[in-house]
Amino acid sequence: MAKLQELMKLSGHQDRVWCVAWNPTGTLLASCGGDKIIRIWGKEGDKWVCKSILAEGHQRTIRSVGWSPCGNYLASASFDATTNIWSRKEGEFECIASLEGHENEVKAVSWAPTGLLLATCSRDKSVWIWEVTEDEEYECASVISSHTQDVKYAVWHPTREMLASCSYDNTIKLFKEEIDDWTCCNTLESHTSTVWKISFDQTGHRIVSCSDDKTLKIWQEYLPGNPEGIDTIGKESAWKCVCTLSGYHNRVIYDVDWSHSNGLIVSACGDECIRVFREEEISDKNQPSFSLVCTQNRAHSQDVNSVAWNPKEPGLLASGSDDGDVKLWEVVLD
Amino acid sequence: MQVFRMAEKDDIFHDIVMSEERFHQEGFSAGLNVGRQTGSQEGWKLGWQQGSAIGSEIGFYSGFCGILLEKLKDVDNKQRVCKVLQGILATLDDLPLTDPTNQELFDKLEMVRAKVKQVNSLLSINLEFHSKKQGAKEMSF
Repeated sequence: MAKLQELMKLSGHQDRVWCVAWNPTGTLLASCGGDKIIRIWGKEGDKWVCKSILAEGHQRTIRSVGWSPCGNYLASASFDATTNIWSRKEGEFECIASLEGHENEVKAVSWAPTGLLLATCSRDKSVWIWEVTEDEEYECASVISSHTQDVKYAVWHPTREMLASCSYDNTIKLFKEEIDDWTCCNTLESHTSTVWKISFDQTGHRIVSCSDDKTLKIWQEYLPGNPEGIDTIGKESAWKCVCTLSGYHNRVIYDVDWSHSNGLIVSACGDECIRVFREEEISDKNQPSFSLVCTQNRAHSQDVNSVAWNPKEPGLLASGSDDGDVKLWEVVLD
Repeated sequence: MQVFRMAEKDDIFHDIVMSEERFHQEGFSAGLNVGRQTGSQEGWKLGWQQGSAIGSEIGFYSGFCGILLEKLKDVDNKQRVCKVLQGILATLDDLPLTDPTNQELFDKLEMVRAKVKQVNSLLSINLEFHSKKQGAKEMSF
């Protein structure tokens, strides 16, 4: 039987942990939460220890952190309506910019693969795109108010210049730049409640989403002129929900991450469990089947808020929870 | 003749028997007229309020963005914000103002509000329209 093996418990946060994020080389883990502090964890020998503490950057809860693709910058999104940019020079972190503009709680921040664009989203229903100028200034490139409710998360496509966001309005929206402005090119509707998080697979042709409706959904991209004959409009692809994983989760699913190294999907749930899913070997692209690999019961003593695969070490996993702990796990397949 | 008298007598009784319905009908018509009048007045007032609020918001954006554009159009490092300002003015010119039930009006107004936020961020200013009348922000038909 496959199982999750707990490698380490990283304690230190004084309040709930909202988000964990690996740097692109997988050597550092950033975590943040209600104590308004970002902790950077790194490996020393066999053990993971807290290498840096980034405090006094925010006035309220830090909801999310994201590394730049080069690994030299860390962005933090906070309920104090600001997003801070931290620069890592000679191992030390320094706050070099504070992006203001959102009316209230910023929920997520994400860097584009080029490192030149940054996206933030907020309870004020808007998604902001920031452009990094040559002299490390951050200029607002667009304000998109397309969602009708609180935007929970925004993430860039792994290869293309395309942004995806999900919201309390139950939808996922995709955005592209068209003649100097960013516009919504697709709206993915199927979830019956808040969509908390989305994650692209390695190819970027699929998205997995998790929701308050206790399901995971897999979305497949169909390019114009696809052999399946799925209708597309103009040059835009169509995205279709091809698989719904229901009956596995007992409560809200807060986070989902699709591994780019081994294709496993991990979910973080309000029932204190972490679950790992895998696509079955014989699986139709248009009607894929996914199966549960393992469930870690009582992974934490409270809601699991965040899970993230290490980008370099397949099977290595970090999780963060309301109980204030960050844990590292190893998936042991049979 | 006998038949005629009967009919007359019938009519008297008819009036009495049917009086309830008749008064009901008269009351209904009178009430309907009063309702129509006050409803039309209320509607006119609401329309005037909402319309003037939206109108002054549009005028506010148009005026401020026009001035900003005029001041910044030749400044080298402000070309991005100029483009946004031009975009706002073009959208404002294009608003379907004659039909308040047109959803496009509100979609475009929402777009303008978003772009004004972008201008605020780019110039580190705080240009904000304060409506004295609540309700203009969210309107539904």
